[in-house]
Amino acid sequence: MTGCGEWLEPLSAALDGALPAAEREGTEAHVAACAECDRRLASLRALKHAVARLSSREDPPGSVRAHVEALALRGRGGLRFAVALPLLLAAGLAAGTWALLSVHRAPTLPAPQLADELAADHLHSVPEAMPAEVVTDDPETAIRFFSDRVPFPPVAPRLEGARLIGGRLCKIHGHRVQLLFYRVDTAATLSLFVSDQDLGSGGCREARGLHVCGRRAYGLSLVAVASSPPDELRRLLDSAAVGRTE
Amino acid sequence: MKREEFAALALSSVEEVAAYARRLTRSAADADDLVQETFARAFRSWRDLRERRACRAWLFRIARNLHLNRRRYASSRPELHLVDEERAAEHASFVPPERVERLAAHDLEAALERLPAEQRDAVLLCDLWGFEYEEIASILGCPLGTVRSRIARGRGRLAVLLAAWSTRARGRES
Repeated sequence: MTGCGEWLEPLSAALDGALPAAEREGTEAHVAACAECDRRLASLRALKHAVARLSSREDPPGSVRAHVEALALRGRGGLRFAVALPLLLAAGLAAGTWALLSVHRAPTLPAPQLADELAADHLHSVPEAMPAEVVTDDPETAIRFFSDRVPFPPVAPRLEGARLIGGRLCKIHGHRVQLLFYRVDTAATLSLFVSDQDLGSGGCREARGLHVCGRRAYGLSLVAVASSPPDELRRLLDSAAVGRTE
Repeated sequence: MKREEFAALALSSVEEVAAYARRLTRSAADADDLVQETFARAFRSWRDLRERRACRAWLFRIARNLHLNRRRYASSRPELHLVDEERAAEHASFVPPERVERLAAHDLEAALERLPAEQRDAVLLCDLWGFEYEEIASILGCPLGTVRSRIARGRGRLAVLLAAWSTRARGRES
């Protein structure tokens, strides 16, 4: 315990170079004389750098980027040709690439950016972070929830050693997918993304300190995200192929 | 500023606005919609933007206002303000810097999730996107002193949460 609580705000502002001159001298003198505040300043600085290393950019889905770029092209007379052509090409390329990848891409490891996106989704969407849209351990109830919401016959695979606890609707690259939540034996929560698009359907990748593993089953792409080791995730996904739906 | 210049500036911020939208909405589907609405609004009122260098903060402010307007129409749980925990943060031990270096991204994300939204927003705008306090004040629509206080409280609470995590981790290691 320390009695230096009132120094938190000046220490924090000093880190950002936002301390008024009138406060700066007093704060520096205090830190020089107070070992506790010196340690706190070092801790706050390390935290600032750690937060800065998180992902500050996300590539939006091709359809969203194309929409935004189309907005840029509208307006009085549109953009000059030199500006408009690259934008049009980029928009076309983004939309075309996604369509091509969706239809023809062979099963592969989840792409790094997609794995990062799914890991972020997992962190933000697990029931511990926000309530699930359907809370159930009954696969039939989960399937009914998704039946009019996704553009493919929904599934709720049985995973050996994991219990279904709920789900929510999710969109990946503008395409609606199922997001099912399972409680694994180790008490970790597993997110299972189910899509009729190819999300990468073989092997595992690490993203945001989590593991992201994919496989194909029932003509769908299944991608599991959890903190569990890759071998455990592969085993759970393999069991999904055996379990089919309830 | 000409519309072409604004378009080029705005497009250079799409990825950052997309990341911000994802953090605001916590949903990929809602974030996609929010990004599109933000840029639709921005391209309708781009003449309101007086300074080129304010463009990025202006886009963030539009995204945040649109998100808040949506939430007013949606049922949402009231945010819990853990006053006692905040007071404790002013006095408790902070996580040692060397432990922060070894922190996994998901532990940091999980701790950020536990901050009150207004503190999390302020910390992320400052440390993740590198906005100045004045810009954060304009994005959040609050006075400069409030920004300074939210960032300090958010960081303090984060340091305490991670100190507890660090102690548990050390217990598991030993």
